[in-house]
Amino acid sequence: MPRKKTTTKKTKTTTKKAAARKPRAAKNVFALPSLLDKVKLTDGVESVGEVVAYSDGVVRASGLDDVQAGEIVDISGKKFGLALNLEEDSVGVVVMGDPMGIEVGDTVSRTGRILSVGVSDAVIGRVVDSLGRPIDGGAPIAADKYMPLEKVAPGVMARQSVSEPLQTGIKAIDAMIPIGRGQRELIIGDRSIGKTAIGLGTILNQDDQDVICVYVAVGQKRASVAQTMQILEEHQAMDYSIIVSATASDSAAEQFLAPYTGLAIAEYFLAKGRDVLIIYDDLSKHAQAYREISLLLRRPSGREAYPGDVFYLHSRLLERACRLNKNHGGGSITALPIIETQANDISAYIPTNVISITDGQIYLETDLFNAGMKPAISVGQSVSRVGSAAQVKAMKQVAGTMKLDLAQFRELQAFAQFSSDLDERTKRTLDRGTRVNAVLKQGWDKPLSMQEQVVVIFAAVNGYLDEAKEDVIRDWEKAYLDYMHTNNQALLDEIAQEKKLSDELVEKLKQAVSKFNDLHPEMMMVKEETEE
Amino acid sequence: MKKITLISASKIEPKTLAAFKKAATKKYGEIELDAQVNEAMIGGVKVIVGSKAIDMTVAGRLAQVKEQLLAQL
Repeated sequence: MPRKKTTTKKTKTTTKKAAARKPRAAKNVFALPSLLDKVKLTDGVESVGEVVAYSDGVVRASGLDDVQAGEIVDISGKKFGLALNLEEDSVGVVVMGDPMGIEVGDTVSRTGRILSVGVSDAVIGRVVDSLGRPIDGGAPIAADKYMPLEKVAPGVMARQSVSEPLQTGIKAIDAMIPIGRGQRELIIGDRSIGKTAIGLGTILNQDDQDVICVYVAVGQKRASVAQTMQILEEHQAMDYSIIVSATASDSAAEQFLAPYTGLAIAEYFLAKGRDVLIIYDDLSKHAQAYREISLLLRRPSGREAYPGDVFYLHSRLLERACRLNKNHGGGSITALPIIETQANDISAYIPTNVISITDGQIYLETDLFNAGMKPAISVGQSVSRVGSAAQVKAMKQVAGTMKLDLAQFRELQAFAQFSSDLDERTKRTLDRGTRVNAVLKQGWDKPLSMQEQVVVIFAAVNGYLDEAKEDVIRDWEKAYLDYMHTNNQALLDEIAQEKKLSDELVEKLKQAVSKFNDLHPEMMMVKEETEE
Repeated sequence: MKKITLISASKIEPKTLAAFKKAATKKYGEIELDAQVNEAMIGGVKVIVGSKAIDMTVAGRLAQVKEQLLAQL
């Protein structure tokens, strides 16, 4: 009989964790006799093997005749391993964690557990590793349910089409590349361009949206993960977030598993009917970790030395992000995978793979970033295949023509240098375009609620910014929002409530904006003919 | 030819070993018996046949108790 499920991770507690648990242990020491009663000893037949060879993180073990693929094995009580390669007379086991201390001849035994992680509501607010063990120095997480890391994605009949918006708080995205709950939207761009910032900004905006956020850090610096945790704590975002971390110094097996661990945790909440947001930062490093394991296991390699199933690696991960229908709880998992490109090359192997899997991409361009446009989202090349089906009506009304206006502006931008020599109409399009573009600039940690976005974009597309000076648009926006909150909070609340702009609401908005402009002549351009 | 490993805490008497070998040969055919002594086992015996093992040592049972107790905490 195989060993029953045990949280064997507890036998490896460090002194720090034991200290964190001390109060509980002291309380229970008198209960020891009754606890002993619950212990059941088994004399079953175990399946064992022996370490025959070890090289570069892969242990070759003999025996283990009936081990299952993907099963966790115990190497002499010292380390866990993953039985990944089942060959004719040996098993290839990838060691999880550092392999120091493993000797040839060590016994390798089955645990009977296919890769799974223990999850409960207590995992919210914690930082865990690829096996679900807490690494933030706090108390161990008691498991309510064991969620498998590998699972078949929900079938066609269990799903529902995406219709609820996921508000990112970023104007450029919510207006023109809207994301819905249950969608997979790729964030792709070069290094240091703001990909993680978009992900974190979205998490910060979920504080009143009843969405649980999972942030999976794969192959990042530990300092970065610590910084991320600090930022989330400062904004009280850890109250609804979980961080799964497999940093650059963790073994390739742990980096390979981290996204699946994050997804298993997300599926726990999905089963309860919750909406979950999961961010994979980033899948490029994930593919590299998988390449490392596959090459060490001597699996045949293909393009760019990636194994043949690197597409399947990501497709099975992203297909599990879905929206379930009422019969299955009505929850959803929205996935925002991040891919890092080299020199803006989105036609490389891994980027094209993931682009074909996701329901759209947010493309960040270096040129825009260097020109001061932050977030550096290329509206022309970014797309959301769910689109306005996941957009609130109010937003549709104001942002409907924005994409077209910006496209026309981009075409004429080349002439911007000669703006004094152009005809009136072109100049007006350019002026309008510059201002609408400027409105799309935003601080990464300053998410705007839906109603705030609607009023700002309303002002921009209806020409109320045309008279404002170009370089004060940011200040204009800030002052405008302050004004709206102080004097017209009722208007904002109405937009948030109704989620659409009725004619009378539009009238009231027009009056509010005009009034604001009149109150701030210092931000408006001086007209050439008359003195204001 | 099957390899059978016997790990015990103290040396097993040759008579017992012979009886065991006889019974095992009857079940598995020709076998190669390897009797090891490991004091860390405290008591009892562990039998490993090919890739299957039955752990009836005291140390093994203590490990099970430890695992289950810690799981309950």
